Amino acid sequence: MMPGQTGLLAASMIAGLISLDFNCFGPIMISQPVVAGPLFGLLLGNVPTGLAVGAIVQLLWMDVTPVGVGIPYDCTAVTILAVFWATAAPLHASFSLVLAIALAVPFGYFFRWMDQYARRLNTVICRRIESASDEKLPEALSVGIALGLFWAWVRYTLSYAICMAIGQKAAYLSMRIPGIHWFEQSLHMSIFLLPAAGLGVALEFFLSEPENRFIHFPWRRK
Amino acid sequence: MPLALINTFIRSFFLQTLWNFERLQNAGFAFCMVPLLERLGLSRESLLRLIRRQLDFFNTHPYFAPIVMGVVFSQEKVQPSDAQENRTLKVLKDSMGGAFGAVGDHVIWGTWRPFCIVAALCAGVLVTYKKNDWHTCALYWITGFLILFNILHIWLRWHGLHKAVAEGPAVVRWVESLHLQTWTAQVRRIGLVALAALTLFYLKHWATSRMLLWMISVMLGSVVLKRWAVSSVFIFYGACSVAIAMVSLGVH
Repeated sequence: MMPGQTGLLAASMIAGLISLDFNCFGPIMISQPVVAGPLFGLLLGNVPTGLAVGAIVQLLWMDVTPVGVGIPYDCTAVTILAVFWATAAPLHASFSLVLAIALAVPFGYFFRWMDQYARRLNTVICRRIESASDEKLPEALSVGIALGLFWAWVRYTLSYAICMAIGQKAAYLSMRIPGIHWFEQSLHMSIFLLPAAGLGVALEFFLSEPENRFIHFPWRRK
Repeated sequence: MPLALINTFIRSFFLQTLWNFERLQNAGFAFCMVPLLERLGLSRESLLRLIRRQLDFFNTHPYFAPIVMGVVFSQEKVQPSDAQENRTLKVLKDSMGGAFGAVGDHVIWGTWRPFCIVAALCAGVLVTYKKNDWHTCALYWITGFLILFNILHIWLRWHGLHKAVAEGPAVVRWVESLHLQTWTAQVRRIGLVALAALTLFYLKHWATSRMLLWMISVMLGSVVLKRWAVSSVFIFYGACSVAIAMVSLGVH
């Protein structure tokens, strides 16, 4: 079902709130695909799609963590965009679901890139806080944190609104491409293979620890 | 004092809001420290100088940060407030931040989070697979994961802060007594067994079809590709390409 402009804006505002958990508040982990997918699916009234997208993205990107100063690939954005596009798509469920994830995957890089620039702007806010007089420093810190949080939410909301709208149009236009229905069977098949690939990635993640390394790859460099 | 602790505990959730490339979590750390430092009973000028001193470089795992906050507070409490910048405290803060950062990455991100994910997935699938009740499955995934994960998270934040305020740098002995490395190894093993069970459960549906071979091939292929440090993006598109090839070959 195609949501209207109000629905799209409401969805992007909620998506913005979920994404705040990624690097601004907490994290209490509502931004993890296993939570964000079903939660967003519940909100859009499409729980099976939310579950499928959440599970596939979570398993495939099990190893994505914000270690050190590195900014990780944004699989929250991939989950949210995929659930929205799959829900808005007019076609057969499994076909549109895989197509939606396939379209959303590059956006994980886009959101990461956006996050990098946002953190540069945080440097500017921090410098302003540091330049505040001693007397105003506690207030400057509170205002700075509130501003940072609000700016992150606005940034995420706007980005989601734009991406959701563009993706919706792209999904509709893609239906007119000659031969697209040939892909229908293939993408339908993908829905069974992707969880298998995800389970493989997750297994490797658990096996990668020395204490769990029951399977040894002799050609692997130490 | 309990109010200041609660205030710092709540503020610690905003530690990373102003994360920046120059001094990482400095602004968040200073913001969290304000309620605690106000309890030192210093003159206004000394207090403000002390708050400014917290704006130095700081980085650690967000769940272990309250421990460092508590240690800094306890140290500021025992030393003269008008002292020159305390180099020892700065070194202590940086070294604790680095050490807890490494521990947190391994214990929380590398072990506890994946374990909770697998546990929630297994619970949701096991409870609902016969009924096809999607709503119940979604509730299990959401609440199961969030409750399981955040029990440890909230306990670590609150208890860590409390202990560090009371014990100062000696809190590292408490962290040591948790035997996190041993627990981590055990949790990973349990997680691996649960994941293996989930994998077998998934494959069981294709036990009598030609699809099973393809499923196992894709799964093992993903294990090998991931071990070669191939990106999950390529694995995703690779699996889609295999599906296209399968349809072209007439596998249904």
